[in-house]
Amino acid sequence: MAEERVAPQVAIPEPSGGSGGGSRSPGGGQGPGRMTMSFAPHASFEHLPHVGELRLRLRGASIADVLGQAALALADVLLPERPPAGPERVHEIVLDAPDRAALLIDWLNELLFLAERDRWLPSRIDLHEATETHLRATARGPVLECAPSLVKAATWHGLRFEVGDGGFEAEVLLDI
Amino acid sequence: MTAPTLSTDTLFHEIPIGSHPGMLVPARVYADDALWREIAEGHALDQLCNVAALPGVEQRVYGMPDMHEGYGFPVGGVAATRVSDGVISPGGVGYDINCGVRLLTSSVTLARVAPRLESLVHELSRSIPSGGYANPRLSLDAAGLDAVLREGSRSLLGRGLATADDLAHTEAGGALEEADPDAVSVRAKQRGHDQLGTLGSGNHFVEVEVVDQVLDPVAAAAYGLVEGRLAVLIHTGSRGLGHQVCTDYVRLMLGLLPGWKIQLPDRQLACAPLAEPEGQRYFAAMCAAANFAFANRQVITAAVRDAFGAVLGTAAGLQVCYDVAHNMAKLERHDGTELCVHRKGATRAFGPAHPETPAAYRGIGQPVFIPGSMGTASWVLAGTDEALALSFGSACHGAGRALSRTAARAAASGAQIRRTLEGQGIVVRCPSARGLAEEAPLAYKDVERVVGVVHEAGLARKVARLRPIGVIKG
Repeated sequence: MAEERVAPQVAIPEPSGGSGGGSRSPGGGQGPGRMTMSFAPHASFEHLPHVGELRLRLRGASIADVLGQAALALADVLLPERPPAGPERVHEIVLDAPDRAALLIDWLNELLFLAERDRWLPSRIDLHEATETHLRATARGPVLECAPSLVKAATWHGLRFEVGDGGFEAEVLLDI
Repeated sequence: MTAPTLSTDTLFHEIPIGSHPGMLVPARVYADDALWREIAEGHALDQLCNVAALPGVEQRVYGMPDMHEGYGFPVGGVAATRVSDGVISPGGVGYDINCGVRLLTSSVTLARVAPRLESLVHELSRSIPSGGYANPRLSLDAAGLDAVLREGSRSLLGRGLATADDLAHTEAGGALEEADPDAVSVRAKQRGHDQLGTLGSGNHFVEVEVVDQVLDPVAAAAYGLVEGRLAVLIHTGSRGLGHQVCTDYVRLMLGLLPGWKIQLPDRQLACAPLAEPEGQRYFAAMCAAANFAFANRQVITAAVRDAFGAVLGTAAGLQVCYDVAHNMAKLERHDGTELCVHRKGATRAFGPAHPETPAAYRGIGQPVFIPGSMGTASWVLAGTDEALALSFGSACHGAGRALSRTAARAAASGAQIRRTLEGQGIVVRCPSARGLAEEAPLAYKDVERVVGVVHEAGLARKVARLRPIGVIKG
């Protein structure tokens, strides 16, 4: 049976050139209804090998790009196999962390908390601010029939969030 | 890392101090050659050696035969730290605090249930919420949730959900006295308030088994296992409440490590000295989450009893054989020293003489459960007194994953797995085709080999083999 799933949309504060360049893991699929994303052409996420959990590699031209890709990757894992149909719910999210890697973990764990508590999945995220240590976002999405509970947490194991010539790259492990 | 020393006589591989930066104690992995090759392929050994660098780590760290790469600790890792000058690590317990396994025995024969097996599995799946579904029959208010966190399964007595006999056959009586609901955050309580009696996702399951073979008649009789009769395995934990407790305390401890002058090779090993208030507070929160998990499996037990009664028309004589945690830190005395024994994907395996072995099993050893993987056998073993010296009284908790979830999905679809299992006479219910594919039997190690090492190494001894006939996946 074909999966009818709706991808989230992420808007970042300063589009870093180009659009529609978001890419997915080979297994992520591109089901009907997926939206265009506003990222640099090379902004992406992919799944890396791990025997028990899910390791993600995230790339982008900016911290906001990477945080946006993290939300997309998480939503891709959490998307239910039945299309969401509930009313929309909006969350204003403000986070402060000691460094960008910690900010990435806090961001993912905040989305996981909201998803489980409110049986909710983000379908659009507006990242208003995203610096080394601070994030402000508006996340909106449908209330679901049941909580998207597959991911327990974003972990600190093997966490990295580095800047290089090609932009930013992060790796994070999700506990399944 | 330098090459480990292999002891072919005793089925373990020893990794000495100095093989890996920062090791304070050696590491030992119980495995035969085939399992060792699988274990050595990933990063599990590096993770185990990192654990050997934790402050106050005592004697030796252990890897069980099902060990595989995790996060921070490897899954299948055991480490003890001194209460006096050691640390407690939330990552050494994991996000699913007191994830564990409970076995119910029954008086029902396979022959009696066979014509109604499909109905039975359907009724079980209908009455036990799985995936992300909450329990519509048992949403707790603040006082009710605090009671569960404080008293665990004991809070369910007198409500038709638990009996005194159930509690007597649960690790620690289903209630850890050190629990403090006030140490659990509001967020954790918000995640957990409607999740009592739910299975969750991932590798959690309820399985209907038939006792296929008894190898130790004396122990099997004590455990209530009779060939040809049904049994039920329940595998789940503390759900979102436990996940949030771990998230909260890892984050808290990371910020405090510099003040304690603790440097770690992996941030997921974040820890707190047991003597510090933060270490004690995490332990109290962990115990509260563990109580939630004991109660969770107890409520599911009540649902299983109801489902059997509804389908078979009579009581099925479902008795709790035992309920044992495999993600937990416990305060235990070993060789005269008070230790905090972290078991991450590893279970207690206390022997006949241990004071914490339930009274009914003194002289036998506590039951140890090693589930297979939907289409393969699960095993019941008995703990040994020798295991105290071999592994702080620990054994493995399952077959252990061999394939990543992506590789498992690539190997077979959920529909293919369902057809294969049904071809073996196994009735399957799973809310997610993707989840079914990720938990396929081929994604796991050979449980017979894993159990063989546990038995031959003396960590626990074989009692009975169970064969699945009905599977409800989370």
